[in-house]
Amino acid sequence: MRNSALGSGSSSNRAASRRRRLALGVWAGFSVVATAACRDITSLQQSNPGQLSSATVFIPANAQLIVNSSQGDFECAYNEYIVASGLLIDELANVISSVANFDLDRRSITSGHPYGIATCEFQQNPGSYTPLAAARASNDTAVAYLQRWTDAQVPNRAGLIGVASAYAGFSLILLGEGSCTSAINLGPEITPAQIFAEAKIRFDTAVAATTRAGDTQTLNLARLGRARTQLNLGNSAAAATDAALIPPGFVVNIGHDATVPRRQNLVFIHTRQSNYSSVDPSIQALFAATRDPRIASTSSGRLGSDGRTLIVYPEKAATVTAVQAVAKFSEAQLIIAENFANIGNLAGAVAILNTLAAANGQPAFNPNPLTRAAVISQIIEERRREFFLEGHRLGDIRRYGLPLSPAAGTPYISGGGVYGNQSCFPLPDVERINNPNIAKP
Amino acid sequence: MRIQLRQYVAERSLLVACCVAGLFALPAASVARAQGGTVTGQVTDASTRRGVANAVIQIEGTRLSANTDQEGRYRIVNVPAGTHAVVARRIGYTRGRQEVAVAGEQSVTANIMLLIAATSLDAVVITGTAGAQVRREIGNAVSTINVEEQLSKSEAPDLGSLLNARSSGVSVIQSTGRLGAGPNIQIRGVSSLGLNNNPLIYIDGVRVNNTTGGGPSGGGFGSQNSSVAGRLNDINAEDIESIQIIKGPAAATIYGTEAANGVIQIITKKGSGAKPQVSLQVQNGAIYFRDAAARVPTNYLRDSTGTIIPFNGIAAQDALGEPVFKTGQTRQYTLGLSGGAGLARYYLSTSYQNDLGVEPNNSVRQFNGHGNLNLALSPALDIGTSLNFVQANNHLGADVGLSAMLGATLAHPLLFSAPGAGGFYPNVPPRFPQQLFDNSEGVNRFTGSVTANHRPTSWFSQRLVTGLDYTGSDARALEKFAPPDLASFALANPAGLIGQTLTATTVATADYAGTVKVDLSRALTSSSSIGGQLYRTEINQSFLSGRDFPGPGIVTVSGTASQTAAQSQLINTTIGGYGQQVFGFNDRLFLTGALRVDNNSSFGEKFKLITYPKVSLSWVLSEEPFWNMGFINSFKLRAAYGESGRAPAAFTALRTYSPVQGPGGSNAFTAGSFGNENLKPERGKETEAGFESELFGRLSLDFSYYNKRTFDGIVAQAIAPSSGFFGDQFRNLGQVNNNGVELQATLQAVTGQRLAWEIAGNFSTAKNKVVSLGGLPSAIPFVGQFNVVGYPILSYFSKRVVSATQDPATGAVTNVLCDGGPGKDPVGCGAAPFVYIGSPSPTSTGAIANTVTLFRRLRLYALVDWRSGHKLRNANELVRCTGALGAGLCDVNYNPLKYSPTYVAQASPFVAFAQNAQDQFIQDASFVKLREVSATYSLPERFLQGFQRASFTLSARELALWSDYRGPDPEGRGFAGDSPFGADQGVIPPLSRFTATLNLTF
Repeated sequence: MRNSALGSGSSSNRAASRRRRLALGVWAGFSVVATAACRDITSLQQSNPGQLSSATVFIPANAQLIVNSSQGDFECAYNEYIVASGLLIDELANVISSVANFDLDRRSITSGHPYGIATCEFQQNPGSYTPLAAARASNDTAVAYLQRWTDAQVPNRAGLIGVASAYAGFSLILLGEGSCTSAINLGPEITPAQIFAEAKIRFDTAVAATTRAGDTQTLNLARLGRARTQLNLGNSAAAATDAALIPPGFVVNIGHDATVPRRQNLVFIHTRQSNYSSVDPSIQALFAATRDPRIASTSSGRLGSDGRTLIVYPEKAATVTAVQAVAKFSEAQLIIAENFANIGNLAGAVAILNTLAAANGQPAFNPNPLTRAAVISQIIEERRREFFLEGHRLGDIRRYGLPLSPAAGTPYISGGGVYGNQSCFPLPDVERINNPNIAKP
Repeated sequence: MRIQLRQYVAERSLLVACCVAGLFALPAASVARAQGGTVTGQVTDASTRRGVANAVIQIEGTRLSANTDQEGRYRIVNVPAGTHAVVARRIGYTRGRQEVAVAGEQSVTANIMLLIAATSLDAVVITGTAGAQVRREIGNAVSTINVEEQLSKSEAPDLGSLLNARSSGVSVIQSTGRLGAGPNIQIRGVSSLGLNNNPLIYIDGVRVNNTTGGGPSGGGFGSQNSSVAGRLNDINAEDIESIQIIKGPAAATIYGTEAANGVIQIITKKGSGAKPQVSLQVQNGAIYFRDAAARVPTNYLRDSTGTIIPFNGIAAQDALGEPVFKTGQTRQYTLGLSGGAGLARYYLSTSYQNDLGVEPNNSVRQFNGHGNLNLALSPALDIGTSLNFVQANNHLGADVGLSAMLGATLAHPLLFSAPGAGGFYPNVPPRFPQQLFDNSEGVNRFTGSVTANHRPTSWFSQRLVTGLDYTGSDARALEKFAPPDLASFALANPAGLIGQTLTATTVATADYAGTVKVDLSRALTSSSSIGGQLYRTEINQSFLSGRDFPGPGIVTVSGTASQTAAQSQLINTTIGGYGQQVFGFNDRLFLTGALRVDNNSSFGEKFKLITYPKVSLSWVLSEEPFWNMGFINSFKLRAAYGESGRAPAAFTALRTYSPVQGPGGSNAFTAGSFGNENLKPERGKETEAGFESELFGRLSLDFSYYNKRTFDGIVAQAIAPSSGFFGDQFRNLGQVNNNGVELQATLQAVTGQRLAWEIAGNFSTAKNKVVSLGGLPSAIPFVGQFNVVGYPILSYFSKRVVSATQDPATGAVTNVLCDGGPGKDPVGCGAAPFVYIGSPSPTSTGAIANTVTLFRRLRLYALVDWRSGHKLRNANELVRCTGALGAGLCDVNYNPLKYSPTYVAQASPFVAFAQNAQDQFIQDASFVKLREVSATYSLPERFLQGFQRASFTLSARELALWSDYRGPDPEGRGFAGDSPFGADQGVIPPLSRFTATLNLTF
């Protein structure tokens, strides 16, 4: 029933034709002009003003920024690992009603647990694998770029290579000590021993580079990292050789920030601020018995949200910015003591142990009879206290084959069930499923 | 440089505007004014004999048209001499037509009566079409909701409630019953594995912000499930005339990328007639938690004497005279003015809503202002503006986390014995969260559009819509400084904290369509259209947070001891065009073909244009000469095939690094997005067929079958951390199939003057299945929701206990065995595989509404709706019965012989948590609800005393629930977001309401 444009008189035909031509002409013109004029506002080119582009960030002028970034990745990974490993073993106890936290605390994690995917921004469920893997990768990437560039392009290139290599090495140490198995650069699943071998390569590079750069502090960090690696590889003599070069008073800490979540002391966040965790009852008991300041703890007098577990603060993380030691002189001394014990110099080991004991107001170690086993046992105990919440305990439990505490099968009060027998973080699903070079379940 | 660019853009935009203005002005100016007769009349409802407002009157075959006023009257001038057909159209009615003979400058009258019809083949559809088309031409399903009618019956408090159960296949999904929470909308279920499943929403042709799952974040325990704000309910339902819904790619092709979830077009009210009319609505009522003590579970615990002590937190607080949930109130006032003067028609309205929830920290206060101005500049050109402003201040309350609801759900004084806590979990009294946790959102929103319809000739018409939707929101997750009487109950940080999210969202639309219609022969018509659209969304967001207020009363970020800040900007642009060709044969058979071409900025520079085809057929069989089934008044067959897409978030293609603070506070970055420069849109391909019919002059039936396949499904595939990146990478890997049927029916069972009875109903099925995940293994590490090939999206998987041996004396169970997998014998649960437990998405939904009108004065209305075939994880029961808090709180823990051995077996942390067998806690969430009831009395004319109309309505919502689900409400789905993910853990159910409403028109 529509009006037809056809079939009218000749004048109306001409008028209609004119109107049609006019409309079509204007329409076509509009289309052309609009298309051209709108090019700017219709641009589909993307740039995210809140992010750095991969095309522009990896240039020689950004060398210091790149190394700051990779070191920062390690610092947050270390921060996360301390809490994740502390909950898995006997340094921290969960106090909140959360299945994921229950599972971690009672050593019943699956490979899909948040430890595998949680990143540096995670606080309630701390990450282990992802932050360490990312830190390893970013430090290795930094080294790769720095080695590609020249000294002329990058001031202090050797020093920067040393720093990044050292933190790549420490990332691998923690992966090796904490993970049942791992992977590097989408490679195959590898054992802790293979990981430690990779770490040693990084520390060798770091030692060479920092020697060339004259950066003594980082050189000692690399030496002590290599010593720890050698200890993990079962080469206590080689470890002691590096450790012996560490001067008294040496310490490298990671610093924290009061407000940036990624850089807040996560032990403080977990125990004091957010009340996710408490000092493990075994440490509480040890402190009550010894008053050793290294494991000092204070009761909050309140229960966690699980309604059952007392919240106890570690004095070591009394503030959100309390530093955490990555490497320090006492670690070197205990490595030397362990080698002394291994080579039969028990008196030498005892001397080191007693120096540390005296420094912390503890009674002298004076076993009778003086045996290697007793000395090693005391070294383990000394390491437990000296490195409390510094990311050593899980590795020590595995390296020394220590019994788990509480024992597997013990009822788990906080969330029900019983404690499991896990002493390492399984290769997480996120790696196994998405790494093309690892066999799928 | 930036300023220069802006100037350049502004100049170019001005140029475009000038061109557009010129385009619309030139031919208009060429139209000569004509002299002629006048056609006047009144359009009335055939059953009530009342005038029908806002009906569109057209002189057929001309460009002359008018709208009726509130009394149904109209007037059209300059009608050429001759015999003309006057056609009246109004949503909800069949087309009315009457012939008149106009001589010279005389005035003739054409009164037209309209019959009520759920679907009219001559109703105008503007959604999914290139310009306006009548329904008979359209080969795909289009649902239309007559909002004025539905709103007057339901007194729905918001748009989400209004949409629920009105249209087959459209589900409104709540994440909590707290006031201010915005729902998600699913049309034909879910079909995307990794992207948003919400439809696009347009208001008067302009795409608008439809964010869901927004609002406060970054707080502590009190902000769990606080991100429930949604933009849908910003729109005042009172300002809406009708809503058109197209349901998938078959219909939404010309919207291109982003339209695969369907499109909802909201058409606001326009002015009508010449005489100004004022309408006033006053609503007052009560909001309450129906039967709270019975719906929140009673817990059990054995005391030191061995006696089992029952405890119900709600009843206990009631007994103390300190009820957890009080009766809230709702107040809403709406004032409208509409009319016309000369060439202009106007509609102005303002409304104020002030609702108080059942907890003191939950309220909604919203002001809306709306104005429409329509100018008929000439018979060839009309311009309409639509302006809408919203100012809202909502306090969203708290549930799920450290809330009074969860506290009551898990309460028992033998377990939580802290003095003053009332036995509430976790030794925190209900007044603690209610007084200290304030999750709020302030919103200022403007939506404006200009629509120009231009008909320079009888065969060419064009339409240009431009508009802007701006939303500024200030969302705060606040945990106040705890005063001394509450500080001792703080689980953490009694000094309080705040997370503040400031968001500015701008959605800009430019949409042009031009159509040439010619009669190729006496029987064959052609309608050729081209169009183009530009959509640009910009979201600027700042997040501020602070911790530790120095004292009570300080609630700002700057008042805290330590603060953090973050900022982000997101821009997404879609640009595209389309061509559409419609051939009509004898005004009965219509064949439509269309091709859409577009691009979206999310896909990166490597991605080029993508095309989406469409073809549809519509055949009005009942108008064929051979049709001899008189009892079928109208019958249209339709079939359509179409494609459209779905785009991921902006910047998805880019590999980026995020700036962070480095060692010692230095500048640094860390791995950000892995990116995927080869990403393509998800492509939905849908085939749809059905019919629309009217039988016996009183039964309308609208049926559809659809089959949708989503290819290149965008899957967020996790990145192996050893690569140095983490998080997800969006990849085109998946395929999902959806299918279902939809039936919409309206029966005018009785149409007498004394008694009229209308039964309206809808029913739909919606099944989805993951067909492919691109070869990715579906690892199921724990009980939860996962995408697994062969099962619905995000299905529940758990180990399933199939047998256990129960000691007849103690009720204790041993020898617990789980499903060993398909075709395998049961095995110990530790070694058992995870098996499919159920889908979170309903497989069928429906509703039945009955409206009985007595003596044309008293209208009684009731709506029952249902959903079935889906499951929900009842985390309340899981935590209570498994001893997760250290002791079992359920009856099964103390009277196991009353329960099945398989249930008793799972009422233990070892089986439920250590062995991941929780199938008993993933429960059938099917339900039937008595959703809406109302009674409306319209005052007789003799009592009106100067008013045109007056009516009084009593209404109620959420009155009854029938369900096997054992939690408070199967619609309580926390942490839902826009996917079918979620669980019920201390979620406030949809709240009930009683309201009284007075409507006056004068």
